[in-house]
Amino acid sequence: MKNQTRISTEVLLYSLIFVLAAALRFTLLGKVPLVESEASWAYQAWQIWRGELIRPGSLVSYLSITKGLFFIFGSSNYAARVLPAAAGSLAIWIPYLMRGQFGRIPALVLAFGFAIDPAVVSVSRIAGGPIPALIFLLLAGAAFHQTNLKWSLVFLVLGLFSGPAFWMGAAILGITLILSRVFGFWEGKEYFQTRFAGFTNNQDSNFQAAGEYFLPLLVLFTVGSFFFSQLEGLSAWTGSLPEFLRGWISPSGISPLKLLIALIVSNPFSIIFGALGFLNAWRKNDLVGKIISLWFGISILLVSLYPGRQTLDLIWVVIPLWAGAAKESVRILQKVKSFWVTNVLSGITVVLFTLNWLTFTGMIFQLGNQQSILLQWGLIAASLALGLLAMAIVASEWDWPTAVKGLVVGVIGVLGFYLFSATVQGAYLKAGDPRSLWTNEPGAGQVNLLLDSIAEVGIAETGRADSIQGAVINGDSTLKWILRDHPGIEFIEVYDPDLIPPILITREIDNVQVPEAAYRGQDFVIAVNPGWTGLLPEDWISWIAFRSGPIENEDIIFWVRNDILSAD
Amino acid sequence: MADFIFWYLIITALGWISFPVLYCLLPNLPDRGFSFSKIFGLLLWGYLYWILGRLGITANNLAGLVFTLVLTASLGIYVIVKRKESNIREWIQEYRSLIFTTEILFLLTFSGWAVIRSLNPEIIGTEKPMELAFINAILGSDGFPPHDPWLSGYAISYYYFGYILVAMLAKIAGTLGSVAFNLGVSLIFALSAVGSYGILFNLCALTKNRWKSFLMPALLGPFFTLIISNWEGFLHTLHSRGFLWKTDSTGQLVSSFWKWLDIQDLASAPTENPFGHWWWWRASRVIQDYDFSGYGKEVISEFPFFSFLLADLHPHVLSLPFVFLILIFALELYLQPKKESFLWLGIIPLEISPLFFGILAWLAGSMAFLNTWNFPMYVGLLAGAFVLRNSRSREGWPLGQLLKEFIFLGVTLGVTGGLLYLPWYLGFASQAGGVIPNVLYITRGSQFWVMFGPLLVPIFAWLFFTWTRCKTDRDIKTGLMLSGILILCLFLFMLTLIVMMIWLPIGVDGESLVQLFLGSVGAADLSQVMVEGLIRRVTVPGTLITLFVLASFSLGLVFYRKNKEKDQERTAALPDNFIFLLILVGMTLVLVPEFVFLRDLFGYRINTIFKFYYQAWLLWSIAAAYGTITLFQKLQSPFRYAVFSGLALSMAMGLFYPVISLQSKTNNFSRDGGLSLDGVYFYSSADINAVEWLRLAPPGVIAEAVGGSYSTPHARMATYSGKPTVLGWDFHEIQWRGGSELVTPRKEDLAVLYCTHNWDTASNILDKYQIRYLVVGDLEFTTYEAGKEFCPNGLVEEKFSKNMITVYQNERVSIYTLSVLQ
Repeated sequence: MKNQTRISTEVLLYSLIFVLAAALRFTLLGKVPLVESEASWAYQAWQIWRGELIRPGSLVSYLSITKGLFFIFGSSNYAARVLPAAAGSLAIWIPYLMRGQFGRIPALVLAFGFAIDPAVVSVSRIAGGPIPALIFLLLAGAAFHQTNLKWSLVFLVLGLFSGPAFWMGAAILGITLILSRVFGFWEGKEYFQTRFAGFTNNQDSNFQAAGEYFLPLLVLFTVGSFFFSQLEGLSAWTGSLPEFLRGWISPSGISPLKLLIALIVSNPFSIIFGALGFLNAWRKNDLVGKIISLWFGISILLVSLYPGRQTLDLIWVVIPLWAGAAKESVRILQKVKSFWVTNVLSGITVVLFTLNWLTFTGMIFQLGNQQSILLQWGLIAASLALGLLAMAIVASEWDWPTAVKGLVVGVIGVLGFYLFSATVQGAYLKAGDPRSLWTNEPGAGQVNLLLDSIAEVGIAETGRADSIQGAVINGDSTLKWILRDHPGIEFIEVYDPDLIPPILITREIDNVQVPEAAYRGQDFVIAVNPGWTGLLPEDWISWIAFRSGPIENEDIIFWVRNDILSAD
Repeated sequence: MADFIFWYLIITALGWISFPVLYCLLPNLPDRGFSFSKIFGLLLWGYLYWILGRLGITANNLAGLVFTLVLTASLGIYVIVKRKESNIREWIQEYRSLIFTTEILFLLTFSGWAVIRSLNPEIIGTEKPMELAFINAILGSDGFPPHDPWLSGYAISYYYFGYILVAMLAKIAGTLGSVAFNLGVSLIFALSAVGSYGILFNLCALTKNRWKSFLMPALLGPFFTLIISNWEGFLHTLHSRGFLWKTDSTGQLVSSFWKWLDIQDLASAPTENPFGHWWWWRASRVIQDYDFSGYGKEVISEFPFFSFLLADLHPHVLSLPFVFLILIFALELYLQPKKESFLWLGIIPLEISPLFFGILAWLAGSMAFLNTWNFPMYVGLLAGAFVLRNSRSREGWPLGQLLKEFIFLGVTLGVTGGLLYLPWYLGFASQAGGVIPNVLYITRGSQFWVMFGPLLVPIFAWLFFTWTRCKTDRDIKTGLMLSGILILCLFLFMLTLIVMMIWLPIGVDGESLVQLFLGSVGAADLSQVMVEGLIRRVTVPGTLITLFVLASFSLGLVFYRKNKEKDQERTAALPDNFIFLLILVGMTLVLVPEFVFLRDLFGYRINTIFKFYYQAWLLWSIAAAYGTITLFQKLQSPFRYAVFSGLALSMAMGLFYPVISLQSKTNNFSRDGGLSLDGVYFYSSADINAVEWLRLAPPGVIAEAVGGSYSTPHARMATYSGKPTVLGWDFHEIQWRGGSELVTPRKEDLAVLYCTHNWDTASNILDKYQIRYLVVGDLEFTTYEAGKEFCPNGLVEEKFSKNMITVYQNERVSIYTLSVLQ
């Protein structure tokens, strides 16, 4: 009975974490306009929903489920991002399923980490991103581990349908398992034999066996056929494999160093405790810890070696890092009980780190003054020395574990706060920004303003917001997505100056020869790019502290025929 | 080079992932199908890609390719896992020398022919532009059926499966169409080499346990099939040296021998430059037909080496490896014990496993899609192998039962094979218009021997040797009787067709069938034609006699006297019967055009001879190679050295052509600008640049000058960009569509479009064909010169430049488009 209560509490805690994860992912999900890569997927889903026969891309699960969401809720930025947000929320159940091997408390901490990690939260709010591939693949593995063939196959299907990111994950996990077997951390043959035997044992009759495959097949055909509307999805997913392989010969231009910086800046907590965890795992011959450290090593190696890498690929590194960090932090915290000395040391650590942070951010205003900068670094070094001194005193008077715990609790508090801040910024609770860590491409511009202007002109010309006739010359997916409900606006590649529709939208960069006597133009920012070319902006402290830095605008020109404006 | 490596790796991997399936399907063959795994894998992958694309499950893109590749691989994995073919590993261990030889043969032939192609890669002349257009159109099509590059708005109406296979490899390897063309030729050469090698190895290794001793002799398979050529090369050399030419009283060179031989160009006196421009072409024209009025009719007598030398990627070439695949399945069928049976559609009993029947039907059906003419031929061959297998365990030769079994399997394979490729039939219109009695056109014996001599010499030698060995088994009476019946039946069939032609009240365009027939042979009176035909058959009997002897020997040995005590001996000679079957099917293919031919737009037997003789060459070349090996191994007669010398001489005569022609075709193995597999060929660099622009432009219909068929520059934009043009080679479209209804109006409309002064007229035509890219270049100006039909004043470009947008322009070519905004 007692045991049951404990399990219920555990499930309740997981449920609360799930609610927190969902809140962080679903809140204001549609506030920021879709960026180009998101729009291209959302637009495809919209086309499929409209019954247009298109050649679908490899993110079949995204297209299919988003099509379903459009059908129920109508097309919107929010609906376009629901699948990744939902998948990202499910992440917290992976530790739950693996808690047998991982330990109950570390699993709970890990679930919490997944819920609030800025990388996971941020990527979970990106349409067409890699989070569904990651989550479905891990869930498939976890279900397999639980000898649940049905759900393992369901998640495997959904994972395979989630684009090229799946293959990166499969490669990382595959190599990890092979090396774990080679190094003797894991009895692969025995493990699989047990699991397969488990599958057979669960199937007492042919009917039951068929039942195991029914749901996966149903998911396969339903999702693969976009709810029985177009069969091509059943094969389109395989396009992800050549896309992934192409990444090996087509560099993205993103430096591995940039990934490293993004990782450090976004989540120092998991880096510090993850690294400590990996070291301890090898020192204490903890097999699970060793496998996780191998997983981390391979993921960081593959992501760094992969020429087609994207910043979002860091998600593969963050997961094992968190696993290591969760195990280690729990281990340290459980080592000694807290008492007034540890609490005081923690307090000192928090105060010192806070002061150091303030000193660090204060350097922004001293950038021209080298002497002052040097002084500030000196202050930081001195305060760190002070912290170490305090720790040494505690260690000499009591013991090292007490000192370490005091320090760790303090560090957890400080880094936890930093983590929360990074989550709030990275998770788009603030406005989306190209200076964010988690985007490689232009951030969203003034598309809502553009849309309002078009509506205004439409009302002036036709009496309806969505009935204006016009053309977009060389429009991209962002424009196609935002103008999807304007049937009168056509997308064309070449413009004939003899034709003067009520409105025209051209890209400033194309320098299209619009008859300026007939039109009046207004520029809008369609996208914003980081305004620096190196790894970090010149004022790198501002970027680390506040994600601020120079930006460059990409403009479009919205042309309205003179007679419409004059009539207005 | 990178393209070559990609192709090599893909096709090799495909072979290995498909091998487990073949290993399972071909248990009675020594090589378990390894030599055919690449061919089988390619066919299976191609079929899945096409049929799933046709059903809307896959698109014509990389995802579709990978998906179907995964399915193909899954089949292999399934076979290994489910059928527990664990001994496949032991087989690989034991037969590693065979695997090594096959892989080396494939690599050498693929790379070797790729080098040859890279010495003369230009896609110019004959029908190469058409083939490239198909490849590029398939590469550029969204799905299946692919769009016709030369008739916008329509799908390809042709047997285009081979082009899909080439385009698939091009797409997955990221190869340009113009490179894929040459790699395709090289790949087909290599696959045919391993296919013919595999057939011969299996046939030889069946007879003895020492299979390793046949690893090298089996190379005679590709040698006879792909290298040995007809004797024209040898004759050409003699001719060029003035052999048997003398000067007459008027100072003219004369020769009764060359005149009697009557082979195109060789009948006239040698020229100063006998090995000049395209001399090697003549080897494909050694048969000469004459109509009633004595007017010569060119007949195509192509053979594989010529095909690869010319390097037209035509269906008869593309289908070559798959013919060998069918042959190996026919051999497996022939070797299978009678174990399983089923009722086809619950009606027709067939003593064959349903799975194997399904595979045979799928293979036979593919023949129609690859090269339609092959379909009935190889269905017949499979049915023949089936009958021979069933006869092995039966006493006597119940003719009715044999015929029933032949027809049952033939019909069921035909119908099932057709159904498996039904989506293709739905969009296919053939130019074939029935069967025409062949009264006048007789292949002369001398020309027939020039064509098939290198194969007939070893075949006859081997048949004679076998005949002398099987003294108690052979049945000359049956052989003679059946041969006579066969020829008589064909003759009666021809007469029946003539009678039907006279009696049936059917006509075409107001002309009766008889009038049409007489028109096609250049005569006015049917009785005169009949008499002339009879005279020709009596005075030119060489081919018929040759075939009669061949048939009598083979049939006398196939339908041997059954004797229970001799059963053991017949079992030992198991492959011989299969070779007799190949000889007989080849003989039938050669015999049929002596009496009837298929009606097409040419009106005589140019294509029937071409397609039938070509397949006969394949079947006889296997027989000739097998015969040669057998003779060298078993012949102990005191005359053996004479026989060997004869064989060597015959082969040497057949090697003149490949050696000399290769030198000529490759400009003595050198090329200005170095080796290249890119066959891109343009008459002007302006066209190249325009095509490059078009290739990357969004989809749309092109309008460009329409020229005659076989004109390389015409339809250049569609051919190289893969985008459909309003009309390409007009006569080819007429052939593919079975009439000119679609073609003629387009030709006229395009002339009007380019030449009219009136923008409204032009605009209507642009609308009518949904033209997006209108090309005006040098070719358009020369094609639409002033004074030509529909073009009194020549091309008028002004209306385009005034009313359309110039989307591309270089010094010689402009491309115009209309804005979609109206």
